Amino acid sequence: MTSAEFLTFYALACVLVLALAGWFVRNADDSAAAGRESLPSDFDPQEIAFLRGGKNELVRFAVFDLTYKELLQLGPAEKRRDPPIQRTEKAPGTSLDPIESIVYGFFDQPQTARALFASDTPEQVEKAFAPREERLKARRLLTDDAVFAAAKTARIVAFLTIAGLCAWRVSYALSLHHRNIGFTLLIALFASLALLFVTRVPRLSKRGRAYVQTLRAALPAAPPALPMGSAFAPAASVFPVVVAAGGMALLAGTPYAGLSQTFRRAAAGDSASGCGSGGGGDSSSSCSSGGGCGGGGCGGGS
Amino acid sequence: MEAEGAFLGAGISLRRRHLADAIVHPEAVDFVEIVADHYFAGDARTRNELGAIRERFTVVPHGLDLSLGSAEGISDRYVRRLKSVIEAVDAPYWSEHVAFTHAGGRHIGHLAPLPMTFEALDVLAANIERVRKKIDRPLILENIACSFDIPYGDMDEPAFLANLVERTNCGLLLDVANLYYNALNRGLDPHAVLAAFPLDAVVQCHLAGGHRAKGEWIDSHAFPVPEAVWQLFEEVVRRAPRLRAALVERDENLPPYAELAAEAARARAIMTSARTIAMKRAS
Repeated sequence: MTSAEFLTFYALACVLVLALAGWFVRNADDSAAAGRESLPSDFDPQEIAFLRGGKNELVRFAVFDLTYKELLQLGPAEKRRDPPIQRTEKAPGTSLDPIESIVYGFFDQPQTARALFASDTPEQVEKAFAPREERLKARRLLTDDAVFAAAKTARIVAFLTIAGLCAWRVSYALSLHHRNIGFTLLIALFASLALLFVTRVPRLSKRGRAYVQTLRAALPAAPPALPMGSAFAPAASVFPVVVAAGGMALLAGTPYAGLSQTFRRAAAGDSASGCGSGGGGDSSSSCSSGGGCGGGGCGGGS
Repeated sequence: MEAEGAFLGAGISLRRRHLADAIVHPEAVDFVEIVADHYFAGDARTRNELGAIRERFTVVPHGLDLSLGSAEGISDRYVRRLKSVIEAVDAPYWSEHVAFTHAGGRHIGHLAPLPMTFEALDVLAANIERVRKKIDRPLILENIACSFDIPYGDMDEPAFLANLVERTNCGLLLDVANLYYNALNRGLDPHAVLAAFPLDAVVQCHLAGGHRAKGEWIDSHAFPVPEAVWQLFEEVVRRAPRLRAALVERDENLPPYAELAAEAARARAIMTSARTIAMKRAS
């Protein structure tokens, strides 16, 4: 086999291995067999927000909901780029749930959205949400641990195949004192990177993604936005559910548009560091405050 | 007669702007009517939306553009798309207008009235027969808004509809607002027109409010149901033994969902009261 023939063979073999690994991971998720998740009789907007975008979306929603309940408000921007979020005069009473209590507690002093996501509040919220997250897993809306394990296995087997062929070819070439191994190593490198991509496991299961898509279709905002106080806006009790399903971008054109902007700025301000913890971007969703999980985009580990 | 069946109650014509409210508060109405044409895209979003509506409500699809009165026949493609929506929501029945929207290969973009002739009846009957071969769910037929009589007719509208029911065995969807505004525009007494209407065949009613412009009443679906239409509806409820559903339509000047639901509640109360009285008499 000539070098060119081997490179062609190796490239095709890598493509085949990648395709098989991807197929294996996708088929490891059998949650769709459980059937379609029914719409609940009582919508839980926090659950919807978490499904759409993980803990950071849940935090964003909690801030919005507290603002909607007039317990928080956006402070004046002044010269600062990010206006602070601060408490109002209204007392919360005993009506706050654990998630809201954590987020409300963070704002004992005026703080920016950026500071919120740089703090350990998202982690505290995630911990408080853990029992409900388990229930979501039980409903097979979140990816099973078995799928993550299957992906790990696929990754290892596929990598060993790619690396093994590469090692065999390199050792063979070196034994003949050939130095033309660069393309082989390059293909191996690209294939290994592609392997990480094709075997990534979405946070939501197939069933979960279908459910989120149904929620987004069933709870649409009135186009182009939600002009509050008009007939186009949903009823007051429905509005938070719509925002949970559609994301903060729906707040554009409403009295809460400032929140959407401050979340977006916080995420954008942190984009240089890969949309990490500081800006409120969530590795388990998109980095935007509004978009969140669309068709099947709720990928990444949570 | 087709489309006879269990009492459905009172509903609304569901528009997308009220969808979230309706999904979260389905208890406010008994069923919904959707415009089938709005769901022809067949994409994932449309399928998800239809699935969610179906999960929450009994759904009656309402066609706009089948053009049952077209002498040139009906579009097979349109019928296929209509069928897919009807089956997706598992509709108990569906409805279309006694009108035409296509002529000479052109789309008129409006529900045009038919001449009240035997020839038009033949066309309607033939087209309905053709649709039935493709769609097995019962069809009910709606009277449209028209402010004048087309000359050289063989009969008036009530007689035309009675003949149509006899020939096709279809039920009727009586648009009470259309009947009311048509009568006003022709200088007739709405109650007298209603008295001649084949109420035995009425399965469902539409209720809506219109407005007067340039001396003519227009069934614009832009205002609350007026008292005069409610009074006519009460008469229909008393005299239509097969009536199983009524719904409030609103297409313009959309009010909050709660207002529509309140009108639907009024329709429900009227129907429930009449049914209670009828049951007492029967026992």
